[in-house]
Amino acid sequence: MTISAPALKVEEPASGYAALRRRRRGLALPLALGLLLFVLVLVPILLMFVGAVRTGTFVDPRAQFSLRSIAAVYTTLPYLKILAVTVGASLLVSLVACVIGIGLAWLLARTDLPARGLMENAVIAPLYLSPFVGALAWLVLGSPNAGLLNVLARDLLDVQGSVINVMTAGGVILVMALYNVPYAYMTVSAALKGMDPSMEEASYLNGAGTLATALKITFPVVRPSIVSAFFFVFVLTCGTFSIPAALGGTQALPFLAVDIYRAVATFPLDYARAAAIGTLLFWISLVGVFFYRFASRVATRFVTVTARGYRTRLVKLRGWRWPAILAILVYVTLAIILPYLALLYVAFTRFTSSSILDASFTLDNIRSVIGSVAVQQSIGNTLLVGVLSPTLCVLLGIVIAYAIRRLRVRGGGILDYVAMFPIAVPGIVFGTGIFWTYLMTPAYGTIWILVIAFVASYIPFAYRMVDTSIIQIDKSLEEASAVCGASHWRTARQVTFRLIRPGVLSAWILVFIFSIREISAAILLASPSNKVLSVMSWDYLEFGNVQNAAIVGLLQTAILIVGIVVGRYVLRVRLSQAV
Amino acid sequence: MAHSDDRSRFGSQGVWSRRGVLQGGALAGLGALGLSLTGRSGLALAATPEPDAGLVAAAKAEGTLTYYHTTAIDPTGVWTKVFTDKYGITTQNVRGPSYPLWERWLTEERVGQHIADLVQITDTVLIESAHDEGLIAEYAPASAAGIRPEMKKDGVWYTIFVNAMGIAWNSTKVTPEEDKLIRTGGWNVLTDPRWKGRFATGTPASGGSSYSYVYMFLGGKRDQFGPDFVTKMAALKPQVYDSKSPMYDRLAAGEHAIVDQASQSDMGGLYLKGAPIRWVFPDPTPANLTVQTISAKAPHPNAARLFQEWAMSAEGQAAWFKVAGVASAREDTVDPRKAAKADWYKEDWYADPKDLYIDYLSDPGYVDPAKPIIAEWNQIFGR
Repeated sequence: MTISAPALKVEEPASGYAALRRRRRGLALPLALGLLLFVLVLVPILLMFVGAVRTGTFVDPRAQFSLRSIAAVYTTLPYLKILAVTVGASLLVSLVACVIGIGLAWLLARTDLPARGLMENAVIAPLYLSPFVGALAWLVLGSPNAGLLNVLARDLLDVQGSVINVMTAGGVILVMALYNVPYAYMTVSAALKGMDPSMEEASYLNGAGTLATALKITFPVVRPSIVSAFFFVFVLTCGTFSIPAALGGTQALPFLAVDIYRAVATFPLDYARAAAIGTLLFWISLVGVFFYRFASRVATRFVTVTARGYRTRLVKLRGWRWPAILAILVYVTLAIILPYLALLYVAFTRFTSSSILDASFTLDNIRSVIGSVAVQQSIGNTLLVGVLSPTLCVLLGIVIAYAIRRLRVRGGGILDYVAMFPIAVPGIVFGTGIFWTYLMTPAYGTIWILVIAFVASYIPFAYRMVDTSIIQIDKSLEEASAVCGASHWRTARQVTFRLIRPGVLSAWILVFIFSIREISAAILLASPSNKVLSVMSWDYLEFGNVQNAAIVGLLQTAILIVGIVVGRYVLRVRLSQAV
Repeated sequence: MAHSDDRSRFGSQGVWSRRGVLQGGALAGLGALGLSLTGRSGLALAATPEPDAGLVAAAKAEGTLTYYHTTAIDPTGVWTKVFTDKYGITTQNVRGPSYPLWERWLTEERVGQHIADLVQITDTVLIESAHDEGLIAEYAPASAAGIRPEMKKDGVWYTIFVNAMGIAWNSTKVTPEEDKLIRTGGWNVLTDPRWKGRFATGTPASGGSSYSYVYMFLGGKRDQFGPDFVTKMAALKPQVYDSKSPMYDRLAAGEHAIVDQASQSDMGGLYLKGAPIRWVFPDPTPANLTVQTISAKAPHPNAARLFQEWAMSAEGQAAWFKVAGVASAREDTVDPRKAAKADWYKEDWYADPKDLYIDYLSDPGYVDPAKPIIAEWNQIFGR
């Protein structure tokens, strides 16, 4: 075996034509990536800022430049109040989601609970339900007068008033938290599973108990992941519009993203105000992204994939086993079982009756939805977008991450920042930016504008997950390959890409889920030829046809489950280790 | 400008000044909707001229059209399918809320992305400015001769149907006394403190029909109702919906006992599904027009014209009746259910609107592009 060590070779002084060519070559990739990210990510965001200082749309002949909207949104009390409520509520949502997510992650990663695989799948199952459809289900379950749970409590238990009311600030916050728990769970769970257990082992060997080890060793080690999960959920929540909109609009809980929707959906249509609120949300989210990025970086220091094998010691729950199982069941019931039961109930009723006993059931809704040409077309579009968006998004994520981490291209830091930018832009605002960016291109009105919008929106997730996978690889593995004589490309192919494969597939599945569920940008970009299921469900709900909206929501879930099953059993993806 | 002359036909006295051209003296005391409901359906289909054969051939050659509409998805799909079945021309239906859909169409037309062939809207004021901008195709379908004069602007826009708006309630959520009160109490019922926490309404900012509804109280009939009336309504702290249809669904479910802006088509649909819904049309009953116009740069201009011909014909209007029980824009077309005393027409609580308020289309307050009454309403409701 010949041993050569090109990787260790000290670089010769750059001179002559060869050096110039090398330098040029070194610039080509970052420039190409920079240009791509500029068009994909920065142009829509820039248009949002420009839109905020115009009095009308970009093509409105009467529109002028004005700081009126910016001044109103940044300096007047109504908006500042809504800002405070949005930030406060989003922090609360993050807190609740993280507390539940951490508890579930610890139980499923560190204890001897039975059927952990099944329970893990149940815990992340809310991901398969569009938050908007989930909110719709909770509206049916928990509205104060006609909520199924309230009516049942009244009829069966003779309870006066309402036992639950989702149309309050607390209700909206809890529903939002419920649908964000999987993100917190996945982040913390991945950290726990990736953590070197020898530290906990040392703690046990030194006589520390389960609680002391959890608090003094496990918690501090995964703390960056918790902080990262907290701010990730915070940023996502800040930009959420579908849940607070579905649960009573701004009356229950004033929310900036709902105000953005109202600005572009009700008279007087005010795109400048929508864009100005978007810029405000952008800054808030940027702060959240800053903390998220910082925490993610620290978190990865503790998570390693090395050539060493290890086994985690599981905590024996003993008497706590049943309370723990019960806690998980309560979460699963609230997040999945009840909402799906509500959706199934609604899907088969002639109209939404609050009394299950008096309801009249029918198959007409199912027939009407399945027989609808528009729905059939939107299923095809959803599948197309569901395959194209994650594939292109993950490919781009791999190229960026590999260019920054392994090729160490110039301007890598800038690329890293730009790739993470879209996470700070609410979907509805980003959708507007994409609308203006591509309005005058052939992509407008086609399925491609949705693919472009989704690739741009979700590149932070794909890039970050692939990036994390690359960081986690012990460099000695690649160095070993290089030392053994493998070329750069061969090392990448046979070592790096093979090791990041699980991360890549997880990223694909996550972006697939997002793309199927996405609603904000899809509504703004919908055309006859690119309607997707999420837009159909929104349209149905807008016209009070809750039955059809529920059926479309269930169809979305069916597509998601098929995707997840293929991912899980064909590609061996474990989504719970995704983030 | 030519169109401003046309608009003078829609003056506040417009409906009444043309009583002479409308059918029969028996119609005299009724509003436009009442007129349509007493019309002669039997004569309708025979009276409508068939579209020009050349137009039909050209439209069939185009084979398809794109229809931007604000009416509910499925009923609209059923309606346009009747057209497709007749002519073999498929329709791509794109639904959107009134104002955003219109704004989007304007934007597309301004940048040369010509996608829509026909656009439907509930706010005729917006069509006027688009017409000024040259974005509307001028076309007068022969079949539209049967459309009531006040429900069209010849060559520009034509009404598909008239939507009257009243008060609806869930009969399981009110007492018999309250039921009687709603049926006889007129609009003042909506200011009764008993509905606190049980009442829902829709914002006038959501679209033309809600705007027209609120306009009656704060604009056209300000002397009779005005800010005091609306303030009393707001004091009940109603749930305010950005879109009315979800409000109707929640009424049927029993979340609210009573709602306003109840349209015949939506209430009729829920009634037919067995929902415990009743509705009345107090006097005066605000109504608004759902109209459609052809895009100047329609990619399928012949198919668009043929569709407009069909939609305005007695056949097209009758097809709309089958999917929604609203009043026609034609006086010769009525809902056959009424004559047969079928569905809600057989109920003792049901009565057609008598004093329809529709003659506001050229009121300065109504056509004001700033729509000041929306700001006033928002202020009263603290939004």
